[in-house]
Amino acid sequence: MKAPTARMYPDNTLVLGASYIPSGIFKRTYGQYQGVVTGNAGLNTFVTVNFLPFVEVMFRYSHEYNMKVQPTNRYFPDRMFTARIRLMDEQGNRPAVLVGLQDVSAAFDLTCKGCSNYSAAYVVTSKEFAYRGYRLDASLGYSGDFKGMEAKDFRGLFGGVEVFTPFAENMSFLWDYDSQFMNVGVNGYFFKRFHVTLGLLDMSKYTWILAYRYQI
Amino acid sequence: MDFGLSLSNLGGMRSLFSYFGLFVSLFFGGVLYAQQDLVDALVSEGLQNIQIAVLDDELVLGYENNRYRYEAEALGFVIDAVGNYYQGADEILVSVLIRHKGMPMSSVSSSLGALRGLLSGSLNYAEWSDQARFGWEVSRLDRVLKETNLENKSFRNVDLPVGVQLDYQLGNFDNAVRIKFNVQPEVTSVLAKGLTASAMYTMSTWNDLNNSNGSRLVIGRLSQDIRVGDHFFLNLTGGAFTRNRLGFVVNAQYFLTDSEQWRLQASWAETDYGFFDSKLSLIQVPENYRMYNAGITYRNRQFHTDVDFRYGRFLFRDEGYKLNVTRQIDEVFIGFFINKSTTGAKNVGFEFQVPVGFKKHLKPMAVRPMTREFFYLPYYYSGTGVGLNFYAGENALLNSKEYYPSTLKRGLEKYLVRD
Repeated sequence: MKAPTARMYPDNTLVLGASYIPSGIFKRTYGQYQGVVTGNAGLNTFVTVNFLPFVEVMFRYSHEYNMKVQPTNRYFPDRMFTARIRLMDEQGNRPAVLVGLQDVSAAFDLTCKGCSNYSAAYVVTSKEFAYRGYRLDASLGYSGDFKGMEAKDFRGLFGGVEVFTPFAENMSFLWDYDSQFMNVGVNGYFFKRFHVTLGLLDMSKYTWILAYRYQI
Repeated sequence: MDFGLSLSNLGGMRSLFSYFGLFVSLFFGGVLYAQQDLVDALVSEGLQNIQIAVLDDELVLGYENNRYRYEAEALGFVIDAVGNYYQGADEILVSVLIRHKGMPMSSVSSSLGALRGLLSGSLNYAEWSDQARFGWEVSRLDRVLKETNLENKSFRNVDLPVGVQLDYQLGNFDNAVRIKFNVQPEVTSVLAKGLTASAMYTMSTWNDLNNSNGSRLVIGRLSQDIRVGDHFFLNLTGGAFTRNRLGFVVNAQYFLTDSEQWRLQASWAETDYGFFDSKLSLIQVPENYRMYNAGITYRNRQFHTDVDFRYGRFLFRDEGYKLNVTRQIDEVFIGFFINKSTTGAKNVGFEFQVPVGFKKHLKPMAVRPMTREFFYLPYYYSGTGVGLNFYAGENALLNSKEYYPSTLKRGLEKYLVRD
């Protein structure tokens, strides 16, 4: 749902999408109440590219509903980069291992440190188990500070499972713990292009993800 | 005196000559017809600057593609045509020289037997490409073709590509994206080998970004591409360019090895502030501004990824370095860049170049309307303007990545392998 995994789209994949962050979860990204849950929902719009077979890069815009970009309120949507590098493929009993750097551009002096809202540096492993047509993809990771950048989006242990059944190959059930909340959801992959997720963040607040996937 | 030549013997000799004549006409005539069939197939497809030389054990074929958007697709057509139309022995080596603006760019060689094997399905693409040679060395083939006939010349035709350009700023929900959408018609003609004259006009069609709505000529130029030997490319361009620059620019690239793996490059521009206004009057403010940069590029051929570093003086009198990492996926380019000036200012972001328009243009003719082949979009994450440059129009150096041996080798598979 929300917690990172060590899974990646295939090489040369471009994904365009949006995800809805419900009221009560979304935190303001600027100004006096930066980092505070204001009651407004948010919308994350993103583009993800599998730049190399083992490198995935995402650029994301996080908007807050009911806010306008105006000089008076000095609001501007949050922008962030994420780079994910797979260190090891899953093979035999060996899990896939991946490191991710999320919203840490300030650590490289590319933006101001106070501008980062979702910073996190993490390592995560994923391993798939199969039994009689059922597949269970389990992930476990740890997120911490990076070069003086405080881990905000994920902090500490996180993990989850995705379960595929033999009854609907293009659908799966999700459960994860993102280091703050428990989340559940259902994933659907349609026409090899569309990815839809419906779920509950903190087991109670509706969320969705809609993404279009294109093989370059 | 008896010369041993009787009338009956003369008759026998006549028969012998007749048989010999028949053999010659069947063999060489057949080869010539087959050769002509191949040329006809390439000409009727709209390929240009076609040359063929038949050596003892090699067929050398030169061509230029101005029909297909992607070079690998054109090469696929040519290789397919060679396999289908050329009637030579399997042992013959087929060498194909690919030209651009009449200039040799890249080459592919394969035995005719392997080529036929690939086309018939008895060889898979990996087996075929292992024995084929995708090369950067073109001088020998260019020399072989020098004295042969040039069929369907490409010079002095006029192309009218129309493209689009987008300036934008990401905003919020009530105006999520502020954009300025420009349509850019162009007129371009290759006058002689490597020599291009072109002009590009820009027209604002939609603008909620800024107050600049003028339409005017943004590029008017003469550009000469030169290739020296196998490794050295040079381009000299003079005229009016984007960002109101008027003057000349010289670009050079030197490939360190017989492949595209390591490349040195340098650029030198002497320009004034100047442009054509909406009435096509030339406005010029002499300032003798000099821009230059030099650097090195490493290409990882497995992942078709360039790491490009250069140092120099750029558009806004800033001096510093530029580092780009760019992945090429056939016609798509995705890159990340960081430009840093000596003052510490940075310009960081990413850029896309994607193919647009038709995959196959109309056949080249005296005047041909067409779509521009690509759409380019940069995004400045922290934009200070350092490390920027003006655009002086396309040239062989900018286009060379489509002709890289590794690009052709990867791209060709999709056009040669039948399901």
